[in-house]
Amino acid sequence: MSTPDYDVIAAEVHRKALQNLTDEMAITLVRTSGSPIVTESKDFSTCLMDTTPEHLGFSSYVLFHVGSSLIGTQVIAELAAQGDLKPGDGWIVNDPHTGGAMHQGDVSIIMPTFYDGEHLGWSFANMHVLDVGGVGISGYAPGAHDVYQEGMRFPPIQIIREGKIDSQWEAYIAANVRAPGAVLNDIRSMVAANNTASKKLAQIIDEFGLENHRKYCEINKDLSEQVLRERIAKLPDGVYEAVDWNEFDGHEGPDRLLELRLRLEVDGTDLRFFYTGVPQIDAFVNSTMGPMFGQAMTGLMTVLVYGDLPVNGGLWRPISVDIGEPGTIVNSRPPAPVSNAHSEVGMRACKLAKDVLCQAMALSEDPVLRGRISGQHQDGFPGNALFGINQHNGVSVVFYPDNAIGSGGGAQTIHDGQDAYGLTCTTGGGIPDIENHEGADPVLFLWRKLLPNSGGPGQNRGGQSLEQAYAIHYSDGMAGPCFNACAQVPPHGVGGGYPGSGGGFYPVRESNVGELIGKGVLPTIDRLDGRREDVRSKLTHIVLGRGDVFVGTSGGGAGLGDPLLREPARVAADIVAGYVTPKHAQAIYGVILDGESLVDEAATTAERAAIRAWRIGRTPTKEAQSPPTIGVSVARDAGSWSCTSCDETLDDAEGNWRSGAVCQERPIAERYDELEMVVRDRKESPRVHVREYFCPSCAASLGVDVATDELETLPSAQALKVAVLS
Amino acid sequence: MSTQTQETAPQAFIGVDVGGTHTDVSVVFEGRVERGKALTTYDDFSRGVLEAVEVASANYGLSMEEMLANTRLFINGTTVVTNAITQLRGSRVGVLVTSGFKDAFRLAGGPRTTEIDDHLQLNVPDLIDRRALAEIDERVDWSGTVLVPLDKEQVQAEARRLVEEVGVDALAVCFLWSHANGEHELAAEAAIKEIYPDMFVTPSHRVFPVEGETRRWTTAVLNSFVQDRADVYLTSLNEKLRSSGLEGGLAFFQGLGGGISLDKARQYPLGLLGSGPAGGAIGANELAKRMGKKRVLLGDMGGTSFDTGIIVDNEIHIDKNLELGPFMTGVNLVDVISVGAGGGSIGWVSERGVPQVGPHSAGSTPGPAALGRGGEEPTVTDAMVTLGFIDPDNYLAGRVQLKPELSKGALDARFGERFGWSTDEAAAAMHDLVVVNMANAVREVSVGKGHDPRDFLFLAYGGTLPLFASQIAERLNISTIVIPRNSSVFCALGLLSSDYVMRFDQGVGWDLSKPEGVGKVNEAADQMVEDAIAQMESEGFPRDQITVQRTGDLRFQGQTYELTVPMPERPLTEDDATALFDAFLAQYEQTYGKGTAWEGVPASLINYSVTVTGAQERPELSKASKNGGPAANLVRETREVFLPGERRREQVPIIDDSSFTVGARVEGPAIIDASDTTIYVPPGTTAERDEYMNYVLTR
Repeated sequence: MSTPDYDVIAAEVHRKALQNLTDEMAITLVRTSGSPIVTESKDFSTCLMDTTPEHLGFSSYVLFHVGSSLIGTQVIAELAAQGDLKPGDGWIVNDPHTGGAMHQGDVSIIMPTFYDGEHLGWSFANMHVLDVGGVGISGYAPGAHDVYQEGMRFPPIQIIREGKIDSQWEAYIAANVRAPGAVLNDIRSMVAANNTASKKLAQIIDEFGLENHRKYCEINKDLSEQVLRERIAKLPDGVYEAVDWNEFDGHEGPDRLLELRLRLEVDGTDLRFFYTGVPQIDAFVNSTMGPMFGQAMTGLMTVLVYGDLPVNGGLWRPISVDIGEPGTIVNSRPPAPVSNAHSEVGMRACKLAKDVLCQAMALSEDPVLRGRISGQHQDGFPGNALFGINQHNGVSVVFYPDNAIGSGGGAQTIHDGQDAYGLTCTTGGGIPDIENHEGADPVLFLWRKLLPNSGGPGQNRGGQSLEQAYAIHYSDGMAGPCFNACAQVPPHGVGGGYPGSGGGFYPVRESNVGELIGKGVLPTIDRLDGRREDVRSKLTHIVLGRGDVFVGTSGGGAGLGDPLLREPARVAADIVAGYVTPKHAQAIYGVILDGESLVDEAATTAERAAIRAWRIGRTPTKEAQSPPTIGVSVARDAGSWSCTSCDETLDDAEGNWRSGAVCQERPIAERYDELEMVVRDRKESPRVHVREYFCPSCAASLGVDVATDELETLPSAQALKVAVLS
Repeated sequence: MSTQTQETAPQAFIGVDVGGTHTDVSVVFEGRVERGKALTTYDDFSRGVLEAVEVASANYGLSMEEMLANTRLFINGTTVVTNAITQLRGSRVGVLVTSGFKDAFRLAGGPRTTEIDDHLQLNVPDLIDRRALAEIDERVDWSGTVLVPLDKEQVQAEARRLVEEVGVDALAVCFLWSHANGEHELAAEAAIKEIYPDMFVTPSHRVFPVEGETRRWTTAVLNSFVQDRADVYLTSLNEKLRSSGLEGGLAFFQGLGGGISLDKARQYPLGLLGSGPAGGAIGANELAKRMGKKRVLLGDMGGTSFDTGIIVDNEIHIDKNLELGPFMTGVNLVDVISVGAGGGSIGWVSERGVPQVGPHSAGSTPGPAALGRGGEEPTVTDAMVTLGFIDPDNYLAGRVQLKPELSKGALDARFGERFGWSTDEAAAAMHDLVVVNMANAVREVSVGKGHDPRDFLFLAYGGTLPLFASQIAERLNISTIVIPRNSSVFCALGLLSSDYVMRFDQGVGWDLSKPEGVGKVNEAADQMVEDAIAQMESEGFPRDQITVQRTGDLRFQGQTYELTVPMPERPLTEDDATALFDAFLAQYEQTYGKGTAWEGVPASLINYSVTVTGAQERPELSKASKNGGPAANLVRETREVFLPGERRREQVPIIDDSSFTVGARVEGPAIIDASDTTIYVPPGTTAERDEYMNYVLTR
């Protein structure tokens, strides 16, 4: 090992100083905004870049803004290259089509940084502002057919000079949004955050000197790059593919499944992501480069950025993201609507990225990387935004992010998935209390509970999700849009673990809530009665009247490893806790209790044997052992794919391990009925199936795919050169 | 010895801080302070307390019994409650909760942290066995109106099930909107007491009657969770002290920054949480007031961690809603943050090949390599031994002989070859990194709350920090550093400066755009003030020693975070609505910046709070007289030290603490060797001693 030829301590102190800088930008944003979206939901990001532009520091609350900051700044840097850049200049961006934005609701302010008159780079602040106009509220427009209906769209425009927003632009923005004071204030607070960056950067350079500042920036990017490359080098070279479907059953139909795919090439220390998708549609799900890059990096970061790996531009150097020719859902062009790009196609892109990486990590010789595979997070949520008069005779604006935070997390190798993990991209989000909602809005909550069986089964179980129900109780009516991204195609598990439950919502019309309360009886889940209405997942305008109940269910995280390998005592504990139902436990874990909490060992052994026999249609010839690495169900070595529970060979190394496995394929809705799990059944073709692959010898669960009935068998990992040639 | 004759009334004040490793005692008697230290005794904390009192008493030539008989006030801070929670060892708590909402404890307001790594996203640990959660059919709404009445039969049946079948030994009653109308929780408590008269029951609105069920309910559950261990401790200490002759007052120090009686501590044991760091902050503020200073950043460095906090205008910042790991509570606590930087912090090389220090600590076993107890990893202590700051022959007053060669070996093995460093360079690197980590923590409590550290003095205490205090101050451009006398037992000494304090919060929900609703606020406020004064009087304070402070929490309608503003010391009128709104706007813009207030949005007074203080007698400390001598007389010897800032070895004068009198002055570089700490005065810094024998460093 060669000794470093620079002051390693000074370089590290400098790195911490830059991290403090982006943190202080965030503090400024919080202190000057006061918007609950910033102070409570933490829906914002701040970062610092050099002239390249590459990230020097990033304060993470919403991870996918690594994409919007990078691409937005690239575009502005090109624009500015033709002009005379001055301190106090600033650009606004919120357009996914031209400026790398996540969706129009997320507005960025980007400003150059200077030292002694020399342009040194850029600072970036982004937040979800209260409103951007258009038919949607707060930037969400499920009913829009083109981008022009979705509200104000800013390609990178210089609206800030000498640190102030141009007054004519102020007037324009004020005329186009529902809450002009708050929105302008949000923009000013982002300017303030950028000013903090300039001021602090000058102090840091005063301390370290300009030459050292530049040197240490490069060193620290190099160090992060080097660590990530060392981790990538431990992934087997090859091609890894995955498929997912974006759901859209809005407008007047049809109920569409929109296929998108990802191919990952691992080549030495490089990662190349190739996304493809079906043609763009006339609804708000389409994506562009900003959300695709940001969400791919979000999926990557949660599995590969751990321990000593500061987030900076060095991390993106080994990575390329290709989204193909324009005109598809992954690379849309105007007039495609994009106001939920980040949460529809974007969140599927995040899951795909994690999927292909987990395939590669599972085959790594490095135990640390094998130990970091995980079941998919839910990544989708039932959102509803309602407006009406509240019990205080004021206007109530209801947009509950609770259901997003209430989504379950994927199972990890070291523990069950986190309950109410939220979306992969939203670190640190919180759920407001029932009393906060009831105090401000005309609603009465009936329950807020973890949904049993919502976490995907596995040796480690997926995280559970939230179900909550409220009645309109203090108002004659509320109305607004509803949208849910993940109802029919739930997130799948890893290494033989099962998918989690899907999310959904439904109103219960003319409920008996008022009548029960009139009699002094609590309206519980068992007593609630009324007309349950099945509704689409993307509604432009739902109207809820007095006494109507709205039930929203978030989906769960997916499982990891064969559920029959979960210790029976852990399953029993889950039954006692109410996390799984006895029927579910018996059907998928093969665990039967003797009394209320003790495992009936004999019955459980027999049940597990019966399940294994069902899986492969005969009595297994070998005994399934727990794999050496939990969640790694198949291995590829010595020229073949094999089962890690019994060493049975499944196929040649060049082939697909699935071809040597026994497959049980059924519509997912049927299978979930047996397991007492939630998924939304599709009435239209194609149907969504679950394909359970089992080892023909020991009947271990090797993999559980979620796919449409039209899709060919999913591919397994391939050698790099084979794929490149084809 | 003092020639003062002993009066008949007891004279001594004793402060005891039961810490993780040591139990520290400060005694103020006959105008001077003496210290006592003993190992903390986990099987029965009171034993260690009495041992430490004995050590301190011996310094006055008294037995422990003689000292206790002479004690006017005995104040005790304890980690027993903090430990019960961090170790998740406590009572088996059963909970009665509004039907439909028992999973609030698992959700805990959202468990995800801001860390990117998914392996760090854990489920919230169950303080309560899931079977011990009993859902009760009852409902109160936002206005306090009962929608569904409580069924006493159901409460008793569920309580029986929890006690008889699940085996719980304490209960919490957690109903929605109980802060708006507590009658259901109280009726449930009464129904339980009917069948289990001795059961410890915490109705949530009694401990935190404020909107937001997660914090209110968690606070109630934690109070019941810690009560068993707290009760054992309180009872044992009280009995031992009384049987050993204590006749004066006995008070227990709360994390809120004041004392409380034994009976009150038994009812609300959760109040004892975090009392150690709070003692230091109270002491720091008292010292600052005595010195005429209003703005203080304080720091305390121990073996494993560095604690820091902020005092603005002699007000200690109170963290209103303590987040205790994954648990959101309504506990009010002196705001002190802690980072893993201490004498035992280990130096290591990260995956990027960058040297790091902490947060892992070698603890007391094996401890620093220099102890020769098998520790092979270099710690901050090893670095300071190597640099020459710590005298290996005089560590812990010579009780422990250090082996510097083991420190050097550990540093060389970890850093030497890899970075091409000499032992001194490796040690200096660790020194620099631990200083940066501490400076960043101080930056967080100051800049993070909108203050510029340059406007503050840095008050550094604890046995280790004075070696680093100047360097931390340098990084933050702070010009004045104060190292108090008796630095190592400063927290225990701080307890002696405390008053009795109790705080009451009540959700009131007054929409300021509807002034006519002021009546219910006054009703609540009058009741709270009356109760607060009565409770303080029952603690033995005459009315003229009791002060009442009123504050209110306000927010714009639609927000969920509040800002606190002072409230008038009188009943409110409808006209106050405008004045309060204006005060809130001013506070809002001061906090969040000019022009940030929400235009056209009404605000509400969410909570009314009453803090009642019973002024407690303080021990008199005598001042030293000015008697400076030339610095040359102070130098005991010189020692070769590697100066980390200058990166060179130099002969540095070692200053004798006992001859450093008031008015004397030393220019850096110098090392002041006090009996319980070592102070580094770097080049360019001047050290002086004030009339309270504190060291004041100016740079």
